[in-house]
Amino acid sequence: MKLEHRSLSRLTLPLKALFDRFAFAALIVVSLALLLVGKADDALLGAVGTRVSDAIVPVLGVVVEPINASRRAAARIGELFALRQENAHLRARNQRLLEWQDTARQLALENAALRQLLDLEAGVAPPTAVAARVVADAGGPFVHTVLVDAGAERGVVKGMAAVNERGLVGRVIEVGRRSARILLLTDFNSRVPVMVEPARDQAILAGDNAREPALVFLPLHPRMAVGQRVVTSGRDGVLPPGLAVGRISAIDDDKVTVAPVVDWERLEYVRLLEYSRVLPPETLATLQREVYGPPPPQGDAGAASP
Amino acid sequence: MTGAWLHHLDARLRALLPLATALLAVLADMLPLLHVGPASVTPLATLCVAFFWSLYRPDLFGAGAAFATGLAHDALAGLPLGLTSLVLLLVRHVVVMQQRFFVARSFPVIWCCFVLLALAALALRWSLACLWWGRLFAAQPMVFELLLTLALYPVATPLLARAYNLIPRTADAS
Repeated sequence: MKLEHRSLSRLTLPLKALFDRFAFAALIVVSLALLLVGKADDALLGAVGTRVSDAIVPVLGVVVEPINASRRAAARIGELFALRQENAHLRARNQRLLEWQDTARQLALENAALRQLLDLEAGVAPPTAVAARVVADAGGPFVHTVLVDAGAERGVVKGMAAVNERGLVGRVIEVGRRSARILLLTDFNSRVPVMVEPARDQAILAGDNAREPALVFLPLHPRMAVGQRVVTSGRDGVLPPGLAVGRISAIDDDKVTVAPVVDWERLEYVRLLEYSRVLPPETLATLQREVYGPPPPQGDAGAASP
Repeated sequence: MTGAWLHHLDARLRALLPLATALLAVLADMLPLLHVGPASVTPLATLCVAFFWSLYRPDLFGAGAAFATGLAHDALAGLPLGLTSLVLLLVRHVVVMQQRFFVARSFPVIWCCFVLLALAALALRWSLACLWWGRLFAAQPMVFELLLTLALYPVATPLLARAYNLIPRTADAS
């Protein structure tokens, strides 16, 4: 019996080695093909990625909870030591905020009175929000994205703004059934239309994989200073205006950098806001087809021209 | 009869440990354990696990397992599909090709080999990413990722050795 097993192994081992070699070559080709296809049509393989994310997100949700809990516990222990100092800091801050509250109330009254005078609408409806938990943050040198545990099932759509209690985190770029991927402000693909207060200078906040993204497409004579607040302008019609983004951290001859307000180390939950005053291209194309019918074929136009 | 069947099933399940630990490493790579911001880098636990199993049980961590592990990593990390798969496949192939060299070597020698291989693997991944996106990524995060990965390997090895001891050494498991 043992002898038979050995002779069988002697026969199958070279076959197995051959199969292994073939599998290696075939899978190398498949990997290269995937890279090329992904470059040509990212939507095709994006669907595969979201399927995998959908399947894994429940597991990650379970695993990430004790990690977050332990981090919170560690942070609380640290806070205990700084309690007295923090208390004094909070008292001073509370005093300042109470003063701001009075100012805000006065401005709200004044604003309402002016709107009534001009017969303007009371303002835009607040955007709808979906709360989601950050379950995966791969980090790494290439992309800055996070995965959240809310997807199309809970009404998440592509383009939604992701915010936390401090301000803008990023925007949704991929949506699965139970998961969504958020492109962080710092990713090199991120472009957010912003304005700098108080001069309301418009610019684009462009991520470059560094901790502090830069402002590009500045106006001709920008009136900016270090420490000024940067908020979303809402000019893209996708992100709501007025969301806190950060503060100007440095102004060089050729670069203005912004320190985001978000505490990346404590990014546990985000709210995904839907705000679309401008129709997304797909919806617009569908509507155009419904109203005007299908577009004429390209060849006809060429044949008609002299 | 039932006993033999259960024994066979047990051996089969234990033979899946290399792939299971590799997928766990993928999950570990996704967890915000050592993150200090979006510009942060984490060790690539997947590479450590792939190297370990390619070295000690290449029969149970085949090319298919390396490919699947890389694909899962790419899909979850939002990287181009095939990027990490390609790197892990090459790492496995190099280790299997040099199997004779590794026999009965001490841990420091193996770790030194891991240093060289991880350097080559991460540099290849970085170059492929630069080509794919058509932009030059900063090399500094890649260097940090490499250093963290090198530091992780001696920590991960005892844990993986425990999994290794659970797998029967007979051909039955393969």
